[in-house]
Amino acid sequence: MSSVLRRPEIFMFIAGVVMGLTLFGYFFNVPQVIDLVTWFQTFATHVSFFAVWLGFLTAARIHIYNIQRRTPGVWYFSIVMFLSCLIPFLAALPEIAKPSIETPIYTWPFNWVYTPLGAALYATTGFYIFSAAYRAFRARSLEATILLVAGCLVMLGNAPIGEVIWNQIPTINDWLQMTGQTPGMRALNITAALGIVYFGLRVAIGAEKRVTTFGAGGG
Amino acid sequence: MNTLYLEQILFAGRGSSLVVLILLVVFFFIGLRLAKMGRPPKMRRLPAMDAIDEAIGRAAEMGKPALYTPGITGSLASEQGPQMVASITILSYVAEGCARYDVPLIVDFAQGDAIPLMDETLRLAYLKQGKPEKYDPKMLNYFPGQSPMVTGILGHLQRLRPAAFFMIGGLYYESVVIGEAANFVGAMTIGGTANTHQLPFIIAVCDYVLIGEEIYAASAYLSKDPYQIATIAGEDWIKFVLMALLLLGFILEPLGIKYISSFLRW
Repeated sequence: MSSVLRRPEIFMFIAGVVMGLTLFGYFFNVPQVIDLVTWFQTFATHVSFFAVWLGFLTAARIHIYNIQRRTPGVWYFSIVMFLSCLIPFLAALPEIAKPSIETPIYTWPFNWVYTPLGAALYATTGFYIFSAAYRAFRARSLEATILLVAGCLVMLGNAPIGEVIWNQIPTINDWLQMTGQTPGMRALNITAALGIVYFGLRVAIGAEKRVTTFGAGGG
Repeated sequence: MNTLYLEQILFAGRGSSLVVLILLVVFFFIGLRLAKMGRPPKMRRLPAMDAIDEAIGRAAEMGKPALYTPGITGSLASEQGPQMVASITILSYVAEGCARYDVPLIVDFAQGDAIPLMDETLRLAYLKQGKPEKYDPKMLNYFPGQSPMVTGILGHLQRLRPAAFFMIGGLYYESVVIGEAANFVGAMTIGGTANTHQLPFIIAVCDYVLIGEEIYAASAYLSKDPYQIATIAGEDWIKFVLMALLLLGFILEPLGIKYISSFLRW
């Protein structure tokens, strides 16, 4: 039975049916199909919830191993990881039926440790952008020179000093961003959307071998 | 189903999308048919894909590890899910290469629900290369969120100094941070995302870049199988159709002929 369930054809059949119905429900106003598609979406949310649990168990397996074997340089971090998962989970259990969890032991580390640390890390991005821009903006070719000039104009257009230097710089900045950049970005978005559709079609007919063989014993 | 009934049940404003979708499906099967007839459509080169083998070879020669991340992406059930799945297909190829040349592989990611999928993908990749014993689940490093993942990757880059660095998937601000950090340690960097807001950063920091839809075509392209390549050739054909449509609209609209805009609003 287990080998039958792991056959790629079953995966393809389910993916094909769900994809077909979802597309039908997007284009056509047939309440029965729309209800079914909504049910599929709710079902997917539930499956992903269990996948998170499965993910936790897989991660736990690695960290328990580290703690048991006292893996040098790692095992104490594994304990921290474990406690960071378990303490908020256990603290939140009594409030699990409520719409939002307000236990301080759950919210305090998130609001006053995780969020400020994340903001501090985000603040370093500027330095990395500066360093990346230094390399990208070197005028080694015609294209790089155009990029350099456009980049400088956009930077000046977004800073108050740009308008002081020449009052047309903000106009050029607007043109570069709206007329120059937007069509390019839209073209990329359209092609990315086409890529997703084709990817879905390949999954549905089983041509995307690396996906249809997940868990089926082939690569 | 007569035309009137179709008009009644079709959601307003989605008719043109439906036509484009039907065209996509038609082109898809034309590509397949041509491949079966022994005339597979030609596929343009994707330098970033060709560079994957080079990056793994570089890591093997230097005796250093390879580091892979699908970025922050999102849950598999989110709208970023396809990018995550596409990234895992590329990870599968990278893992096979690393297994073949005994290159240590590290995978850093932040999607809890993707752990089982990645675990299985890596296990199969090592099994396929006849080295199942080389697969160690400790290759997978799960970080619970974007900032922890960025910190973790920065740490791995500094401590392990990988020779090859791959960041392919739904990337956000982390792309510029980790991409630049990979440059500091001298890693060969290959990036790719369909998140257009991050593409400029990835182009600035990476040696090779997969732009937009190219990450979805990766698995078929890497397979070198004409049958699979045929399934992505239609993507380029539909782009020509859309460009023709744009050009027609560009010419006809100023002349007061509104067929194209009416069709797009249908």
